[in-house]
Amino acid sequence: MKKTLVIGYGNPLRGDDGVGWVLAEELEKKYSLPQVECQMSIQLVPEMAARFGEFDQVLFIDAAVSGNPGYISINEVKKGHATEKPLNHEFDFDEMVSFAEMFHPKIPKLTLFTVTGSDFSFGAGLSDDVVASIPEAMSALENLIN
Amino acid sequence: MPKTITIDPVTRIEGHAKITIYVDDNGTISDAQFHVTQLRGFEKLSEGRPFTEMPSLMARICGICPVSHLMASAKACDNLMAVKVPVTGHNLRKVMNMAQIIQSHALSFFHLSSPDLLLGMDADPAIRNILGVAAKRPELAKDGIRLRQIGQQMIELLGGKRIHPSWVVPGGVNAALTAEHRAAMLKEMPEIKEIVRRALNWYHPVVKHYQEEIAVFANFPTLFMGLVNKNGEVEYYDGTLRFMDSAGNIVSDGIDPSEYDTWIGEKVESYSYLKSVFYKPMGYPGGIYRVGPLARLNIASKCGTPLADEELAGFRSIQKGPVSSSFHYHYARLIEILNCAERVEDILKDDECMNPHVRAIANPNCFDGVGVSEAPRGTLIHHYRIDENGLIKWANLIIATGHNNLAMNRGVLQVARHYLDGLNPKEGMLNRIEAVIRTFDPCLSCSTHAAGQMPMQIDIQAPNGEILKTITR
Repeated sequence: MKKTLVIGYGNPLRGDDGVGWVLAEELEKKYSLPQVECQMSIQLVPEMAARFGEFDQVLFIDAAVSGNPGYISINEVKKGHATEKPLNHEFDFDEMVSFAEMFHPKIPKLTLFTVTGSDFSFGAGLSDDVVASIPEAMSALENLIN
Repeated sequence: MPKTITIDPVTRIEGHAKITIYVDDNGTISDAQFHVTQLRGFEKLSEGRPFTEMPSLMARICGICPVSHLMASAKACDNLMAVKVPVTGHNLRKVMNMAQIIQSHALSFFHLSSPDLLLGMDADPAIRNILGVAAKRPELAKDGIRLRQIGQQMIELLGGKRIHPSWVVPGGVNAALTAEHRAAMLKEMPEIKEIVRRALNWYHPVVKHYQEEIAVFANFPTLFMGLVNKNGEVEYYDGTLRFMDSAGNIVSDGIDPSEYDTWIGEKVESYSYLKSVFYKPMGYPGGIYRVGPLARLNIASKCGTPLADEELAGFRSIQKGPVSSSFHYHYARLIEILNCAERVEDILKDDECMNPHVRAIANPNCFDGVGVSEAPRGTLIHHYRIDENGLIKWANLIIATGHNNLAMNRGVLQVARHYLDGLNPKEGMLNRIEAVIRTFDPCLSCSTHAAGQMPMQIDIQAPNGEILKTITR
């Protein structure tokens, strides 16, 4: 089993944007430290990158807006793309990868795992389409970890 | 033809803002305004809620400084219950408040302002960010990240989570400190001090290249305000309010925070959702004052810890009397991080911090409660009134960025007049206008809680007062 850091991020009070939290929480119940560490966060922050060196892989779990609701996408990220926008308080995935490259001589395997949402309005809870995709998403995540 | 230069959005500050600069027929800057275009409405939406919910509700004002709102809100609720928080609960709250200051100052100094200082105000905006810093001076970026990480971890250790912890409650805190968490926090204090030492060693020579900016970055006489303890030292959580004038005279002292509204007034200006706060005895806008790290170090007799006081001597040598340039907020932040690390160490080394009695329980006993603490950006005031059932009838929040609003506006005008050729603005010049705002590290998410309709309007005005064009949204 790969030593894995799971980062589920998004706003759980904006409907399907909370899917990253839900999946990370499910993984937290299934696996134990130190082999799998799960973090839930509203947004990505630079200090997350500081710990990447401790892991074999990092799984980012986020909601996506494109595609059919419930669609699961898994992309291994080989290289970050330096941003051209002045940094504000949003730290996006590409910046995170660029940052990790600067801080670690060898970055772990980085995977962006997304589930397409359909309802991002105010309120807790996932849409039916996204709820229906949770078993498949969990199975795919477990494969990545195992 | 008079022209308006609009910088929208201002980057690397909390929330979103816009600046308008008015240029007359001769190309002379006639006025500048810092617009805050967000509306939150927290004072209004809290009406009718049980007062015990207020700390958790108010923490939602901001994802960057929720802890600060937790503190001021819980203190207001303590006063509604008329309880004395147990000593250990009181001290643990202080630790969390200082952890918040450490992580927030790290964000402001290393992530938001060091790109200007390291890469230059005229650098390409595409690289003038923390990634640019990491490329040119990786150890500086690493230190900034590590410092924020430590502050966030401390908040998580105490509160159970980094953002919106619910550990701070009316009457104290809801769980005692564990030996494991005490040791984990204590272990980090030497590293914080070492990081600040490295940052100061870098900052001191670098700042010599910014004499022109220092001279015009909100560098004018104002009052300064903040909390001090009974010895007149810097205070982040308790104490009384003190006002000092630009010559260093203490003009009001020992003000009980519950009497803030005798001394502090709020004015709504049509150009911003952010209220302008002023010192009432001097009226509006003459009662302009500043809060936050610069003000705290100016008004206090000392920091009260050895390393911070050593560095404070350097700060005091900048000029005779209170330091007037807002550029030095950066320096003040580093000194405060040092001061917080030393104070946290003192609290955690004392075995009293392990006392399990951390919370007082009571029903509401007063209808009116005020809570005041120092947030990273300055003095934070929460004031609630409740009915006989403990439901909020009225709330007033005065946020650090509001206290600084008048000074930020004047700072923008000062920089604009110095740097901008109204007809030919250049990126480096525009960035200096943004940079003067960043010295205050404003948190617009926090400060725009005013309720009511106030459509944003931009007027382009001729020197004779004629409105040439109005843009409303």
